[in-house]
Amino acid sequence: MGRLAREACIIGTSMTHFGKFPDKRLRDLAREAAWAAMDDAGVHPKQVQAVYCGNAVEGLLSGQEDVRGQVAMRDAGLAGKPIVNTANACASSSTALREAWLAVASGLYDVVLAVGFEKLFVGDTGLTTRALASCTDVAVEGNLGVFFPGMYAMDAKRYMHETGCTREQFAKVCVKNHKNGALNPKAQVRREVTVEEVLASKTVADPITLYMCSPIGDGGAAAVVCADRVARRFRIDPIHIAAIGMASGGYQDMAIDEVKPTATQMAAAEAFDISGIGPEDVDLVELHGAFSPAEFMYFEQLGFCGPGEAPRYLEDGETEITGRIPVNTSGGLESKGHPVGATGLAMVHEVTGQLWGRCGERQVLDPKVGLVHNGGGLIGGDAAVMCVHIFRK
Amino acid sequence: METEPKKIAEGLFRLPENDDPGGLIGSRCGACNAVSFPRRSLCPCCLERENVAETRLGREGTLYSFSINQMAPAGFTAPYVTGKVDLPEKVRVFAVITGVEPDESALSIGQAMELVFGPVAMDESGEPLWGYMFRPAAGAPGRGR
Repeated sequence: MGRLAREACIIGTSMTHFGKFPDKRLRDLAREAAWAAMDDAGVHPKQVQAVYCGNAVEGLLSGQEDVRGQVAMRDAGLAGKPIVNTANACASSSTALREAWLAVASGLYDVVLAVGFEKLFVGDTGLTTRALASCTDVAVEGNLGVFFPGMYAMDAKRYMHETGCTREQFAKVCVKNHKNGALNPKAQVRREVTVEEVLASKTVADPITLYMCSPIGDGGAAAVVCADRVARRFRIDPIHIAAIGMASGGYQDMAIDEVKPTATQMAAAEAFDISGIGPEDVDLVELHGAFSPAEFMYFEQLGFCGPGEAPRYLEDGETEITGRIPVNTSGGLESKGHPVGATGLAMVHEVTGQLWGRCGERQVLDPKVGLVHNGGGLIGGDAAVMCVHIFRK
Repeated sequence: METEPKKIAEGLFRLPENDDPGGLIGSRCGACNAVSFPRRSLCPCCLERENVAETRLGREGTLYSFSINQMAPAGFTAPYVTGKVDLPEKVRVFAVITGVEPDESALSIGQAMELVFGPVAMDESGEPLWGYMFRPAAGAPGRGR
Protein backbone atom coordinates (compact mmCIF):
# COMPACT_ATOMS: atom_id res chain seq x y z
CA MET A 1 0.00 0.00 0.00
CA GLY A 2 1.37 3.37 -0.98
CA ARG A 3 2.27 5.93 1.61
CA LEU A 4 1.58 9.64 1.61
CA ALA A 5 4.02 12.35 0.60
CA ARG A 6 3.51 14.27 3.84
CA GLU A 7 1.37 14.54 6.94
CA ALA A 8 -1.82 16.55 7.21
CA CYS A 9 -3.58 17.88 10.29
CA ILE A 10 -6.93 19.19 11.43
CA ILE A 11 -6.54 22.74 12.73
CA GLY A 12 -10.17 23.74 13.19
CA THR A 13 -13.62 22.20 13.15
CA SER A 14 -17.25 23.15 13.64
CA MET A 15 -20.77 21.91 13.63
CA THR A 16 -24.00 23.87 13.62
CA HIS A 17 -26.80 22.91 15.96
CA PHE A 18 -28.53 19.86 14.51
CA GLY A 19 -32.33 20.00 14.34
CA LYS A 20 -35.19 21.53 12.43
CA PHE A 21 -34.46 25.01 11.13
CA PRO A 22 -37.23 26.24 8.80
CA ASP A 23 -35.70 29.73 8.67
CA LYS A 24 -32.30 28.52 7.45
CA ARG A 25 -31.54 27.60 3.89
CA LEU A 26 -29.06 24.87 3.05
CA ARG A 27 -26.51 27.50 2.05
CA ASP A 28 -26.94 29.22 5.43
CA LEU A 29 -26.07 26.00 7.24
CA ALA A 30 -23.07 25.49 4.94
CA ARG A 31 -21.81 29.05 5.42
CA GLU A 32 -22.28 28.91 9.17
CA ALA A 33 -20.28 25.67 9.40
CA ALA A 34 -17.55 26.84 7.01
CA TRP A 35 -16.94 30.13 8.78
CA ALA A 36 -17.03 28.60 12.25
CA ALA A 37 -14.35 26.08 11.27
CA MET A 38 -12.16 28.76 9.68
CA ASP A 39 -12.59 30.94 12.79
CA ASP A 40 -11.70 27.97 14.98
CA ALA A 41 -8.55 27.39 12.93
CA GLY A 42 -7.62 31.07 12.80
CA VAL A 43 -7.61 30.78 9.02
CA HIS A 44 -8.74 33.65 6.80
CA PRO A 45 -10.97 32.57 3.89
CA LYS A 46 -8.33 33.96 1.51
CA GLN A 47 -5.87 31.38 2.85
CA VAL A 48 -8.15 28.47 1.92
CA GLN A 49 -6.89 26.99 -1.35
CA ALA A 50 -9.66 24.50 -2.13
CA VAL A 51 -13.02 23.39 -0.75
CA TYR A 52 -14.49 19.88 -0.59
CA CYS A 53 -18.27 19.81 -0.17
CA GLY A 54 -20.28 16.83 1.06
CA ASN A 55 -24.03 16.71 0.56
CA ALA A 56 -26.17 13.68 -0.11
CA VAL A 57 -29.72 14.34 -1.29
CA GLU A 58 -30.24 18.06 -1.95
CA GLY A 59 -30.51 17.32 -5.65
CA LEU A 60 -33.60 15.21 -5.09
CA LEU A 61 -35.10 17.59 -2.53
CA SER A 62 -34.69 20.93 -4.29
CA GLY A 63 -33.59 20.05 -7.80
CA GLN A 64 -30.09 21.45 -7.15
CA GLU A 65 -28.49 18.24 -8.37
CA ASP A 66 -25.32 19.81 -9.69
CA VAL A 67 -22.84 22.41 -8.39
CA ARG A 68 -24.26 22.25 -4.87
CA GLY A 69 -20.93 23.13 -3.29
CA GLN A 70 -20.34 26.03 -5.65
CA VAL A 71 -23.79 27.44 -4.89
CA ALA A 72 -23.30 27.15 -1.14
CA MET A 73 -19.70 28.36 -1.07
CA ARG A 74 -20.40 31.40 -3.26
CA ASP A 75 -22.59 32.64 -0.43
CA ALA A 76 -19.78 31.89 2.00
CA GLY A 77 -17.32 34.09 0.11
CA LEU A 78 -15.30 31.13 -1.11
CA ALA A 79 -16.05 31.25 -4.84
CA GLY A 80 -13.08 31.29 -7.17
CA LYS A 81 -11.33 28.36 -5.51
CA PRO A 82 -11.44 24.77 -6.74
CA ILE A 83 -14.63 23.29 -5.29
CA VAL A 84 -15.21 19.52 -5.35
CA ASN A 85 -18.61 17.94 -4.63
CA THR A 86 -18.67 14.56 -2.92
CA ALA A 87 -22.13 12.97 -2.89
CA ASN A 88 -21.70 9.65 -1.11
CA ALA A 89 -24.89 9.09 0.89
CA CYS A 90 -24.47 9.38 4.66
CA ALA A 91 -20.68 9.33 4.20
CA SER A 92 -20.64 12.37 1.89
CA SER A 93 -18.68 14.63 4.21
CA SER A 94 -16.28 11.90 5.31
CA THR A 95 -15.57 11.50 1.63
CA ALA A 96 -15.03 15.26 1.39
CA LEU A 97 -12.55 15.12 4.27
CA ARG A 98 -10.69 12.25 2.62
CA GLU A 99 -10.32 14.29 -0.58
CA ALA A 100 -9.15 17.28 1.47
CA TRP A 101 -6.63 15.12 3.30
CA LEU A 102 -5.26 13.61 0.08
CA ALA A 103 -4.95 17.05 -1.55
CA VAL A 104 -2.84 18.29 1.34
CA ALA A 105 -0.93 15.05 1.86
CA SER A 106 0.04 15.01 -1.80
CA GLY A 107 1.69 18.41 -1.44
CA LEU A 108 -0.68 20.22 -3.78
CA TYR A 109 -2.24 22.51 -1.14
CA ASP A 110 -1.32 23.66 2.36
CA VAL A 111 -4.75 24.75 3.63
CA VAL A 112 -8.11 23.40 2.49
CA LEU A 113 -11.64 23.24 3.84
CA ALA A 114 -14.06 20.30 4.02
CA VAL A 115 -17.73 21.12 4.57
CA GLY A 116 -20.78 18.90 4.97
CA PHE A 117 -24.33 20.22 4.86
CA GLU A 118 -27.82 18.82 4.61
CA LYS A 119 -31.37 20.06 4.99
CA LEU A 120 -33.79 17.14 5.33
CA PHE A 121 -36.76 19.06 6.74
CA VAL A 122 -38.31 20.35 3.54
CA GLY A 123 -41.98 20.15 4.53
CA ASP A 124 -42.57 16.82 2.80
CA THR A 125 -41.44 13.77 4.77
CA GLY A 126 -42.40 11.46 1.92
CA LEU A 127 -40.08 13.32 -0.43
CA THR A 128 -37.23 13.13 2.10
CA THR A 129 -37.85 9.42 2.65
CA ARG A 130 -37.79 8.74 -1.09
CA ALA A 131 -34.61 10.76 -1.49
CA LEU A 132 -32.87 8.80 1.27
CA ALA A 133 -34.03 5.52 -0.29
CA SER A 134 -31.89 6.42 -3.31
CA CYS A 135 -28.89 5.38 -1.19
CA THR A 136 -29.52 1.82 -2.44
CA ASP A 137 -29.42 0.16 -5.85
CA VAL A 138 -32.72 1.75 -6.84
CA ALA A 139 -33.34 -0.66 -9.71
CA VAL A 140 -33.07 -3.64 -7.36
CA GLU A 141 -33.79 -3.23 -3.64
CA GLY A 142 -34.91 0.38 -3.88
CA ASN A 143 -37.99 -0.49 -5.88
CA LEU A 144 -38.79 -3.69 -4.06
CA GLY A 145 -39.74 -2.46 -0.63
CA VAL A 146 -36.53 -1.22 0.97
CA PHE A 147 -37.28 0.51 4.25
CA PHE A 148 -34.08 1.51 6.02
CA PRO A 149 -35.12 0.65 9.60
CA GLY A 150 -36.33 -2.68 8.24
CA MET A 151 -32.96 -3.41 6.63
CA TYR A 152 -31.21 -2.71 9.94
CA ALA A 153 -33.90 -4.71 11.77
CA MET A 154 -33.04 -7.76 9.67
CA ASP A 155 -29.37 -7.42 10.61
CA ALA A 156 -30.31 -6.87 14.25
CA LYS A 157 -32.60 -9.89 14.31
CA ARG A 158 -29.89 -12.05 12.76
CA TYR A 159 -27.40 -10.75 15.33
CA MET A 160 -29.81 -11.70 18.13
CA HIS A 161 -30.20 -15.15 16.58
CA GLU A 162 -26.44 -15.69 16.37
CA THR A 163 -25.29 -14.13 19.65
CA GLY A 164 -28.24 -14.23 22.05
CA CYS A 165 -28.26 -10.43 22.27
CA THR A 166 -31.54 -9.05 23.63
CA ARG A 167 -33.84 -6.12 22.85
CA GLU A 168 -32.94 -4.70 26.26
CA GLN A 169 -29.28 -4.63 25.26
CA PHE A 170 -30.10 -2.74 22.06
CA ALA A 171 -32.15 -0.33 24.19
CA LYS A 172 -29.15 0.20 26.47
CA VAL A 173 -27.12 1.45 23.48
CA CYS A 174 -29.86 3.99 22.88
CA VAL A 175 -29.91 4.97 26.57
CA LYS A 176 -26.13 5.46 26.66
CA ASN A 177 -26.13 7.61 23.54
CA HIS A 178 -29.02 9.79 24.70
CA LYS A 179 -27.25 10.26 28.03
CA ASN A 180 -24.21 11.54 26.13
CA GLY A 181 -26.32 13.64 23.78
CA ALA A 182 -28.04 15.33 26.71
CA LEU A 183 -24.60 16.76 27.52
CA ASN A 184 -24.06 18.02 23.95
CA PRO A 185 -25.43 21.53 23.38
CA LYS A 186 -25.45 20.99 19.59
CA ALA A 187 -27.44 17.74 19.71
CA GLN A 188 -30.90 17.47 18.17
CA VAL A 189 -32.47 15.31 20.92
CA ARG A 190 -31.14 16.47 24.30
CA ARG A 191 -33.08 14.20 26.58
CA GLU A 192 -32.13 11.18 28.59
CA VAL A 193 -34.28 8.11 28.09
CA THR A 194 -34.72 4.87 30.04
CA VAL A 195 -34.64 1.29 28.77
CA GLU A 196 -38.36 1.07 29.50
CA GLU A 197 -39.10 4.22 27.48
CA VAL A 198 -37.00 3.02 24.55
CA LEU A 199 -38.74 -0.36 24.44
CA ALA A 200 -42.18 1.24 24.91
CA SER A 201 -41.69 3.74 22.09
CA LYS A 202 -43.40 2.89 18.82
CA THR A 203 -42.10 -0.24 17.12
CA VAL A 204 -40.79 0.75 13.71
CA ALA A 205 -39.44 -2.65 12.65
CA ASP A 206 -38.86 -5.04 15.54
CA PRO A 207 -36.41 -5.00 17.34
CA ILE A 208 -36.02 -1.36 16.32
CA THR A 209 -38.22 1.16 18.11
CA LEU A 210 -38.64 4.85 17.35
CA TYR A 211 -36.11 6.02 19.95
CA MET A 212 -33.45 3.74 18.40
CA CYS A 213 -33.77 5.54 15.04
CA SER A 214 -31.69 8.55 14.09
CA PRO A 215 -34.04 11.45 13.38
CA ILE A 216 -33.97 13.38 10.11
CA GLY A 217 -32.52 16.83 10.55
CA ASP A 218 -30.82 19.94 9.23
CA GLY A 219 -27.23 20.85 9.91
CA GLY A 220 -23.72 21.59 8.79
CA ALA A 221 -20.21 20.66 9.90
CA ALA A 222 -16.73 21.53 8.68
CA ALA A 223 -13.01 21.02 9.21
CA VAL A 224 -9.90 22.86 8.07
CA VAL A 225 -7.10 20.56 6.90
CA CYS A 226 -3.54 21.88 6.92
CA ALA A 227 -0.11 20.57 6.04
CA ASP A 228 1.77 19.50 9.16
CA ARG A 229 4.75 21.75 8.33
CA VAL A 230 2.65 24.93 8.44
CA ALA A 231 -0.05 23.88 10.93
CA ARG A 232 1.66 25.45 13.93
CA ARG A 233 1.39 28.87 12.33
CA PHE A 234 -2.30 28.57 13.07
CA ARG A 235 -2.41 26.66 16.35
CA ILE A 236 0.06 25.00 18.68
CA ASP A 237 -1.89 21.76 18.96
CA PRO A 238 -2.95 20.49 15.54
CA ILE A 239 -4.55 17.03 15.43
CA HIS A 240 -2.85 14.62 13.02
CA ILE A 241 -4.91 12.76 10.46
CA ALA A 242 -3.16 9.43 11.00
CA ALA A 243 -5.16 7.79 8.21
CA ILE A 244 -8.46 7.62 6.43
CA GLY A 245 -9.46 4.22 5.11
CA MET A 246 -12.26 3.81 2.63
CA ALA A 247 -14.10 0.88 1.07
CA SER A 248 -17.31 -0.02 -0.71
CA GLY A 249 -19.58 -2.98 -0.06
CA GLY A 250 -21.50 -4.93 -2.65
CA TYR A 251 -20.90 -8.66 -2.71
CA GLN A 252 -22.13 -9.87 0.68
CA ASP A 253 -25.19 -11.23 -1.11
CA MET A 254 -23.33 -13.77 -3.26
CA ALA A 255 -21.05 -16.72 -2.50
CA ILE A 256 -22.62 -16.41 0.94
CA ASP A 257 -20.91 -19.54 2.25
CA GLU A 258 -17.58 -17.70 2.04
CA VAL A 259 -16.65 -15.23 4.74
CA LYS A 260 -15.85 -11.93 3.05
CA PRO A 261 -14.74 -8.77 4.83
CA THR A 262 -17.43 -6.13 5.21
CA ALA A 263 -16.92 -2.56 4.03
CA THR A 264 -16.28 -1.59 7.66
CA GLN A 265 -13.62 -4.27 8.02
CA MET A 266 -11.93 -3.26 4.75
CA ALA A 267 -11.94 0.46 5.55
CA ALA A 268 -10.68 -0.18 9.08
CA ALA A 269 -7.93 -2.50 7.83
CA GLU A 270 -6.70 0.20 5.45
CA ALA A 271 -6.81 2.89 8.12
CA PHE A 272 -4.98 0.72 10.66
CA ASP A 273 -2.41 -0.26 8.04
CA ILE A 274 -1.65 3.28 6.90
CA SER A 275 -1.48 4.66 10.44
CA GLY A 276 0.32 1.80 12.16
CA ILE A 277 -2.30 2.22 14.90
CA GLY A 278 -4.32 -0.78 16.07
CA PRO A 279 -7.76 -1.08 17.68
CA GLU A 280 -6.05 -1.48 21.06
CA ASP A 281 -4.55 2.03 20.72
CA VAL A 282 -7.89 3.78 20.16
CA ASP A 283 -9.20 5.86 23.08
CA LEU A 284 -12.63 6.83 21.74
CA VAL A 285 -14.91 6.15 18.79
CA GLU A 286 -17.70 7.87 16.95
CA LEU A 287 -19.45 5.17 14.98
CA HIS A 288 -22.28 5.11 12.50
CA GLY A 289 -25.25 3.82 14.45
CA ALA A 290 -28.09 5.21 12.37
CA PHE A 291 -30.12 2.69 14.36
CA SER A 292 -28.95 1.66 17.85
CA PRO A 293 -28.45 -2.08 17.18
CA ALA A 294 -25.82 -1.27 14.53
CA GLU A 295 -23.47 -0.05 17.27
CA PHE A 296 -22.75 -3.61 18.43
CA MET A 297 -22.13 -4.96 14.93
CA TYR A 298 -19.84 -2.12 13.88
CA PHE A 299 -17.96 -2.14 17.20
CA GLU A 300 -17.09 -5.76 16.56
CA GLN A 301 -16.26 -5.25 12.88
CA LEU A 302 -13.87 -2.44 13.80
CA GLY A 303 -11.92 -5.01 15.80
CA PHE A 304 -12.54 -3.67 19.32
CA CYS A 305 -13.78 -7.08 20.46
CA GLY A 306 -14.70 -10.48 19.10
CA PRO A 307 -17.99 -11.49 17.46
CA GLY A 308 -20.89 -11.37 19.88
CA GLU A 309 -18.89 -9.65 22.62
CA ALA A 310 -20.03 -6.05 22.10
CA PRO A 311 -23.09 -6.25 24.39
CA ARG A 312 -20.84 -7.27 27.27
CA TYR A 313 -18.60 -4.24 26.69
CA LEU A 314 -21.68 -2.05 26.94
CA GLU A 315 -23.02 -3.84 30.03
CA ASP A 316 -19.63 -3.46 31.71
CA GLY A 317 -19.65 0.29 31.05
CA GLU A 318 -16.57 0.10 28.79
CA THR A 319 -18.24 2.18 26.06
CA GLU A 320 -19.48 4.92 28.42
CA ILE A 321 -17.68 8.28 28.55
CA THR A 322 -15.90 7.02 31.67
CA GLY A 323 -15.15 3.60 30.18
CA ARG A 324 -12.08 2.18 28.53
CA ILE A 325 -13.29 2.86 24.98
CA PRO A 326 -16.11 5.42 24.92
CA VAL A 327 -18.44 5.12 21.91
CA ASN A 328 -20.51 8.01 20.56
CA THR A 329 -19.76 10.60 23.21
CA SER A 330 -21.56 13.14 21.00
CA GLY A 331 -24.85 11.34 21.52
CA GLY A 332 -24.53 9.24 18.40
CA LEU A 333 -26.80 9.55 15.42
CA GLU A 334 -29.90 8.77 17.52
CA SER A 335 -29.44 11.77 19.81
CA LYS A 336 -27.04 14.16 18.12
CA GLY A 337 -29.05 13.90 14.90
CA HIS A 338 -28.29 12.76 11.37
CA PRO A 339 -28.44 15.44 8.65
CA VAL A 340 -26.76 12.90 6.46
CA GLY A 341 -24.30 15.01 4.44
CA ALA A 342 -23.08 16.74 7.61
CA THR A 343 -22.79 13.61 9.75
CA GLY A 344 -19.21 12.55 8.97
CA LEU A 345 -17.66 15.93 9.67
CA ALA A 346 -19.80 16.29 12.81
CA MET A 347 -18.24 13.03 14.01
CA VAL A 348 -14.82 14.47 13.20
CA HIS A 349 -15.77 17.61 15.16
CA GLU A 350 -16.57 15.46 18.20
CA VAL A 351 -13.47 13.27 18.08
CA THR A 352 -11.04 16.14 17.48
CA GLY A 353 -12.89 18.13 20.15
CA GLN A 354 -12.28 15.28 22.57
CA LEU A 355 -8.59 15.15 21.62
CA TRP A 356 -8.35 18.91 22.15
CA GLY A 357 -10.09 18.50 25.51
CA ARG A 358 -12.91 20.90 24.82
CA CYS A 359 -15.99 18.71 25.21
CA GLY A 360 -17.03 20.04 28.61
CA GLU A 361 -19.30 17.76 30.61
CA ARG A 362 -18.85 14.86 28.19
CA GLN A 363 -15.05 15.12 28.03
CA VAL A 364 -13.20 11.81 27.99
CA LEU A 365 -10.16 11.67 30.27
CA ASP A 366 -7.05 12.58 28.28
CA PRO A 367 -7.58 10.67 25.01
CA LYS A 368 -4.66 10.42 22.54
CA VAL A 369 -6.18 8.57 19.58
CA GLY A 370 -9.74 8.80 18.22
CA LEU A 371 -11.54 6.93 15.46
CA VAL A 372 -14.47 7.96 13.27
CA HIS A 373 -16.55 5.33 11.46
CA ASN A 374 -19.01 6.80 8.96
CA GLY A 375 -20.89 4.78 6.39
CA GLY A 376 -23.49 5.41 3.75
CA GLY A 377 -26.05 3.59 1.68
CA LEU A 378 -26.83 -0.09 1.33
CA ILE A 379 -25.72 -2.26 -1.57
CA GLY A 380 -25.64 -6.03 -1.82
CA GLY A 381 -26.14 -6.64 1.89
CA ASP A 382 -23.47 -4.19 3.06
CA ALA A 383 -22.84 -0.47 3.39
CA ALA A 384 -22.32 1.11 -0.03
CA VAL A 385 -19.68 3.51 1.30
CA MET A 386 -17.51 3.22 4.37
CA CYS A 387 -14.90 5.61 5.76
CA VAL A 388 -12.75 5.04 8.85
CA HIS A 389 -10.67 8.00 10.05
CA ILE A 390 -7.99 7.82 12.71
CA PHE A 391 -6.86 11.00 14.47
CA ARG A 392 -3.85 11.34 16.72
CA LYS A 393 -3.01 14.08 19.18
CA MET B 1 -52.76 -14.13 -18.04
CA GLU B 2 -54.79 -12.14 -20.50
CA THR B 3 -52.88 -8.89 -20.38
CA GLU B 4 -49.25 -8.51 -19.37
CA PRO B 5 -49.19 -7.11 -15.81
CA LYS B 6 -47.06 -4.08 -15.01
CA LYS B 7 -43.72 -5.18 -13.51
CA ILE B 8 -42.11 -3.63 -10.44
CA ALA B 9 -38.63 -3.92 -11.94
CA GLU B 10 -37.08 -4.91 -15.23
CA GLY B 11 -34.50 -7.60 -15.86
CA LEU B 12 -34.67 -9.29 -12.46
CA PHE B 13 -37.29 -11.97 -13.04
CA ARG B 14 -39.61 -13.65 -15.50
CA LEU B 15 -43.30 -13.89 -14.59
CA PRO B 16 -45.08 -17.23 -14.94
CA GLU B 17 -46.44 -17.71 -18.44
CA ASN B 18 -47.99 -20.83 -20.00
CA ASP B 19 -45.69 -23.73 -19.05
CA ASP B 20 -42.97 -21.46 -17.68
CA PRO B 21 -43.34 -21.14 -13.90
CA GLY B 22 -41.29 -17.93 -13.95
CA GLY B 23 -38.18 -17.33 -11.89
CA LEU B 24 -35.41 -15.05 -10.77
CA ILE B 25 -32.79 -14.31 -13.42
CA GLY B 26 -29.19 -14.43 -12.33
CA SER B 27 -25.92 -15.22 -14.02
CA ARG B 28 -23.55 -18.13 -13.51
CA CYS B 29 -19.82 -17.93 -14.06
CA GLY B 30 -18.48 -20.74 -16.23
CA ALA B 31 -15.03 -20.32 -14.71
CA CYS B 32 -15.65 -20.34 -10.94
CA ASN B 33 -19.33 -21.35 -10.89
CA ALA B 34 -20.35 -18.39 -8.70
CA VAL B 35 -23.90 -17.17 -9.19
CA SER B 36 -24.83 -13.52 -9.17
CA PHE B 37 -28.22 -11.89 -8.70
CA PRO B 38 -29.22 -9.77 -10.49
CA ARG B 39 -27.62 -10.95 -13.72
CA ARG B 40 -24.22 -9.43 -14.42
CA SER B 41 -22.15 -9.45 -17.58
CA LEU B 42 -19.03 -10.44 -15.69
CA CYS B 43 -18.33 -12.50 -12.59
CA PRO B 44 -17.73 -10.30 -9.52
CA CYS B 45 -15.97 -13.20 -7.78
CA CYS B 46 -13.26 -14.14 -10.30
CA LEU B 47 -13.75 -11.30 -12.84
CA GLU B 48 -14.38 -13.71 -15.72
CA ARG B 49 -15.85 -11.72 -18.61
CA GLU B 50 -16.45 -14.16 -21.45
CA ASN B 51 -17.88 -17.30 -19.93
CA VAL B 52 -20.83 -15.93 -17.96
CA ALA B 53 -24.34 -17.09 -18.80
CA GLU B 54 -27.85 -16.29 -17.71
CA THR B 55 -29.33 -18.72 -15.22
CA ARG B 56 -32.60 -19.22 -13.37
CA LEU B 57 -32.23 -19.29 -9.62
CA GLY B 58 -33.69 -22.03 -7.45
CA ARG B 59 -37.20 -21.43 -6.15
CA GLU B 60 -36.67 -22.63 -2.59
CA GLY B 61 -34.38 -21.39 0.11
CA THR B 62 -34.06 -20.64 3.79
CA LEU B 63 -34.92 -17.46 5.64
CA TYR B 64 -31.74 -15.60 6.68
CA SER B 65 -33.66 -12.86 8.48
CA PHE B 66 -36.88 -10.86 8.26
CA SER B 67 -38.53 -7.65 9.37
CA ILE B 68 -42.11 -6.68 10.13
CA ASN B 69 -42.15 -3.07 8.92
CA GLN B 70 -44.66 -0.86 10.71
CA MET B 71 -44.16 2.01 8.27
CA ALA B 72 -44.05 1.73 4.51
CA PRO B 73 -42.52 3.51 1.54
CA ALA B 74 -44.75 4.83 -1.24
CA GLY B 75 -46.59 2.02 -3.00
CA PHE B 76 -46.50 -0.34 -0.02
CA THR B 77 -49.01 -0.61 2.82
CA ALA B 78 -47.89 -0.94 6.43
CA PRO B 79 -47.48 -3.27 8.09
CA TYR B 80 -45.62 -5.30 5.50
CA VAL B 81 -42.98 -8.00 5.79
CA THR B 82 -39.57 -8.16 4.13
CA GLY B 83 -36.89 -10.78 4.34
CA LYS B 84 -33.64 -12.12 2.99
CA VAL B 85 -33.71 -15.64 1.62
CA ASP B 86 -30.63 -17.78 1.03
CA LEU B 87 -30.93 -19.75 -2.22
CA PRO B 88 -29.08 -22.96 -3.15
CA GLU B 89 -26.85 -20.96 -5.54
CA LYS B 90 -25.34 -19.23 -2.45
CA VAL B 91 -27.19 -16.05 -3.28
CA ARG B 92 -29.08 -14.01 -0.65
CA VAL B 93 -32.14 -12.30 -2.09
CA PHE B 94 -34.07 -9.43 -0.52
CA ALA B 95 -37.82 -9.53 -1.12
CA VAL B 96 -41.23 -8.91 0.32
CA ILE B 97 -42.55 -11.90 2.29
CA THR B 98 -46.15 -12.89 1.63
CA GLY B 99 -48.58 -15.48 2.90
CA VAL B 100 -48.02 -14.69 6.59
CA GLU B 101 -49.61 -12.39 9.12
CA PRO B 102 -47.38 -9.37 9.87
CA ASP B 103 -46.51 -10.82 13.24
CA GLU B 104 -43.16 -11.71 14.82
CA SER B 105 -44.33 -15.25 15.59
CA ALA B 106 -45.30 -15.94 11.98
CA LEU B 107 -41.73 -16.49 10.79
CA SER B 108 -38.49 -17.84 12.14
CA ILE B 109 -34.93 -17.59 10.92
CA GLY B 110 -33.83 -20.69 9.04
CA GLN B 111 -37.26 -21.83 7.90
CA ALA B 112 -37.89 -23.05 4.36
CA MET B 113 -39.25 -20.48 1.91
CA GLU B 114 -40.48 -20.62 -1.65
CA LEU B 115 -40.67 -18.13 -4.50
CA VAL B 116 -44.03 -16.77 -5.62
CA PHE B 117 -45.14 -14.07 -8.03
CA GLY B 118 -47.88 -11.53 -7.54
CA PRO B 119 -48.62 -7.87 -6.92
CA VAL B 120 -45.86 -6.51 -4.66
CA ALA B 121 -46.75 -2.82 -4.56
CA MET B 122 -48.82 -0.20 -6.35
CA ASP B 123 -47.81 2.61 -8.65
CA GLU B 124 -48.99 6.24 -8.24
CA SER B 125 -52.27 5.49 -10.01
CA GLY B 126 -53.04 2.49 -7.80
CA GLU B 127 -52.22 -0.09 -10.46
CA PRO B 128 -50.61 -3.25 -9.04
CA LEU B 129 -46.92 -3.80 -9.74
CA TRP B 130 -46.02 -7.44 -10.17
CA GLY B 131 -42.86 -9.02 -8.98
CA TYR B 132 -41.34 -11.77 -6.88
CA MET B 133 -41.95 -12.52 -3.23
CA PHE B 134 -41.22 -15.40 -0.89
CA ARG B 135 -43.60 -17.29 1.37
CA PRO B 136 -43.15 -20.14 3.82
CA ALA B 137 -42.69 -23.34 1.80
CA ALA B 138 -45.68 -25.64 1.45
CA GLY B 139 -45.81 -28.18 4.25
CA ALA B 140 -43.29 -26.29 6.33
CA PRO B 141 -44.19 -25.14 9.84
CA GLY B 142 -45.31 -21.54 9.98
CA ARG B 143 -47.11 -21.65 6.66
CA GLY B 144 -50.17 -19.45 6.99
CA ARG B 145 -53.19 -18.89 4.81
